Amino acid sequence: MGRYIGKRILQIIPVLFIISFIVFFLVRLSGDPVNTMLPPEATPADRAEMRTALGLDKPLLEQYGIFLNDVAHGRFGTSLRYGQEATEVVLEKLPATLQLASISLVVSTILGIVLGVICARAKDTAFDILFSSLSVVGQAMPSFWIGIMLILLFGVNLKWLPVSGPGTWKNLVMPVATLSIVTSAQVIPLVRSSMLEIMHEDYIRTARSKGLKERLVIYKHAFKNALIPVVTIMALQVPGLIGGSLITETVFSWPGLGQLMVQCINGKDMCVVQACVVFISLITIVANLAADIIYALIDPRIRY
Amino acid sequence: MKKRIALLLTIVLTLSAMTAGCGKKDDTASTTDGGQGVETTAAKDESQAGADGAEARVLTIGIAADPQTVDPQALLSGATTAVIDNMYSKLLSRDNDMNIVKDLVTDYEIVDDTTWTFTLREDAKFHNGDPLTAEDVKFSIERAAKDETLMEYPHWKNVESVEVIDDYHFNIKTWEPYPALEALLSKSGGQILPKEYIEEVGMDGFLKAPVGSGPYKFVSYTKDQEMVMEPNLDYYDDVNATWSKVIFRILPEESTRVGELLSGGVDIINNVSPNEWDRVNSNDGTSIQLGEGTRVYMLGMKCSEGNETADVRVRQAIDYAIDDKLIAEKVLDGGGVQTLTRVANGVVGQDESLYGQYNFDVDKANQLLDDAGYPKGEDGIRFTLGLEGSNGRYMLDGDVCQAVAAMLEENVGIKVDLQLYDSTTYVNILSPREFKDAAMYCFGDNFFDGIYAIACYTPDFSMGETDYDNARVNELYTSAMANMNLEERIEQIQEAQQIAAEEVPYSNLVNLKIAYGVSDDIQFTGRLDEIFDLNSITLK
Repeated sequence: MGRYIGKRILQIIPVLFIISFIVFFLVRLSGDPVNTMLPPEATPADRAEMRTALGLDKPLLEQYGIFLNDVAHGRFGTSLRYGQEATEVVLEKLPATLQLASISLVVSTILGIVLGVICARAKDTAFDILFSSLSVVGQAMPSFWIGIMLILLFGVNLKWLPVSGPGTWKNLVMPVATLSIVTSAQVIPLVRSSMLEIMHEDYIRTARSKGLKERLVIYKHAFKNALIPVVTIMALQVPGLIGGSLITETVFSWPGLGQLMVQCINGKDMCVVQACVVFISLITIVANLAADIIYALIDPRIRY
Repeated sequence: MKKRIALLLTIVLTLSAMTAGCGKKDDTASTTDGGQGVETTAAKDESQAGADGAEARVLTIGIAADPQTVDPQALLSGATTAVIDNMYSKLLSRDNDMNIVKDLVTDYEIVDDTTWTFTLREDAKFHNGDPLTAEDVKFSIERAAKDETLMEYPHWKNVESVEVIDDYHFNIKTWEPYPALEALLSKSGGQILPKEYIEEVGMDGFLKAPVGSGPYKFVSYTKDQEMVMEPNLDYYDDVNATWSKVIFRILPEESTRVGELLSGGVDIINNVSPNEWDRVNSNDGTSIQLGEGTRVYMLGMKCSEGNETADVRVRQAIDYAIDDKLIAEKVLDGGGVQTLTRVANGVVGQDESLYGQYNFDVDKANQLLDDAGYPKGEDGIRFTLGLEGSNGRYMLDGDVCQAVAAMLEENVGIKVDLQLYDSTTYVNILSPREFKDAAMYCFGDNFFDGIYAIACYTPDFSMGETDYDNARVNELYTSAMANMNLEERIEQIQEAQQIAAEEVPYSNLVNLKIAYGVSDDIQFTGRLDEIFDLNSITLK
């Protein structure tokens, strides 16, 4: 196990190298940052001056070399918008995003599992049909729309919750609800079908024929086994939650990585965009690694 | 198995508790709270300790864009100046009617074509108590004029140096005669910075704890979240102590900004597009206020050979085929005024006879196109014009472009091949001047001097763009750039506007207004430069 984890951690290095290559060239393919920084009526001479001052006139490969060297030292360059090291800017925003994502992950896991199990147990009842349908609707609704509707209802009309920004627990309710609705809508049908499938397994029949109570059969035998695919899905939700924060954070003016990235893409702040992508990739890789480890923890058949 | 599940749950819960803990720490670090509920408490606390006793309260303004920095010279951004200008003073400034007035100087005069002499007021102090002297002026103005990495540099590079005579007297020397110096000194970048303080703490230290000499003092700035200020009771002029504290909350998403205004979370918001006006006006306690703006929608056309629009009659016909008034009143819902000049209302040198006017005469437009040799084909189409525009960069820009395209096709048979781009892509087409036949612009003017707009008609700026080149306009521009006879200079700027209105390198459509959503208990008037002048915002 230890060797396996070590190997997986080492694999992160080439993956990050490839990501750095892709992100560096993609960001540059999307246009010249000087165009965004200077007003459209600036003369070509003004543009050339600014480009030289920022080192953007050097050959691309040389720029990439400088970039790689800097990244290896933990530097992504100075942000044009903030005049600060991009890594610092990203690290300042990271906790807000992690806070939102982790609470949403917990809420959507609990909601998804509980509702999924109940739906499976009460298969084909009104409850099952209602929540199975709602989960389809939940998956179909874009998160920005959910966010705006929540704002209209609870912020503007009922005035129960603050519309936006960070603050007390009240400020967390609507962004967490937005992210959780989307995520749990994906988890409910998965838990439901996983449970239903397991209910037909031989060992469940055996358990029932031993005369065990139905409650014990469900929670001790079926549920634990149904959890395995769910863990994968939950781990895969992590990058989804971080990515989803791009929209949710913008709608709720939540000062995290998502809002930062949207603003920096619009403002062509390349250094910060690069740093954000690398950090989000890192979180994704770590989440996947965590899923594999947790797998082994809950399923004794899996050994690395 | 039980143990494993318990371990798994413990890991998840610990992780979430840890990250939630991080978040909380971050929130408390930001000195003030953006949340509605907490804000009320903050308002109550502050009202007790307010500058003006029990009366003072907190003013909260929701702004669309982050000021990004407290350095007034680093960026060329209206969003930055709109907020941070309150913390600094300039040698000259603009009053609410955009007249240039003396601010830090008590007197000034032109010595010769390239030298101006100034006398500073002696009672001005920075927020840290240091007196503001000519050395600070030299430090600040020369920084903008010499540091090429500052975005303000292209505007300030005409200044050669600042010569200090004594603590309160100095000369500003320009490389060439520079009649627009007053406009320059009263614009962004002209804010006077504290030399000694910056030398002591470094620029990084200054950016964390900026010190100015304006009517409001810096309290805190949390990126993408809020900037907080409080009144400077030692200000050398009158200070408005209605507010114990002013919070600028950064709310980039429009529906969120409007939601905050409607729910009472903020008192004023900016950049409200017409499709939200009904919602704001129909809500009890809020309304839309329109302020003047410098942005003008203009349709740039290629004037060089090889394009249909090279013929001045075709450009005139396009101008006559577009109903500017309809765009201003219907498409923009009254959010603008039709105009024939790019020099906005309130800007020095505007030819007032062109403002509020528009050319719309379908018969004449058709006649001009017939004369130019572009008869209608069997399908009623004369030719196809490529038009590039943005969608989401300016107020209802996509709608304006579509209206123009429909008018050209229906009124005169010019089929428009319309390409709309998102904001960033559009800038990458506009800035390197890569548009094909025509492009829709919506330029502003943070100089408030007509010379800035006239520059667009000269080859330095137009080549590769409209390719417009008129010897008389070039002569007027060059002369007005350096003409120290200010009355004659205004006449030159106005003549250039008349020529441009006749030859139409750009068909000027609508001078946009700026829409603010304002709580009914607040007295607020939008300024042309879009600065939130905290000294003039009061309670009704």
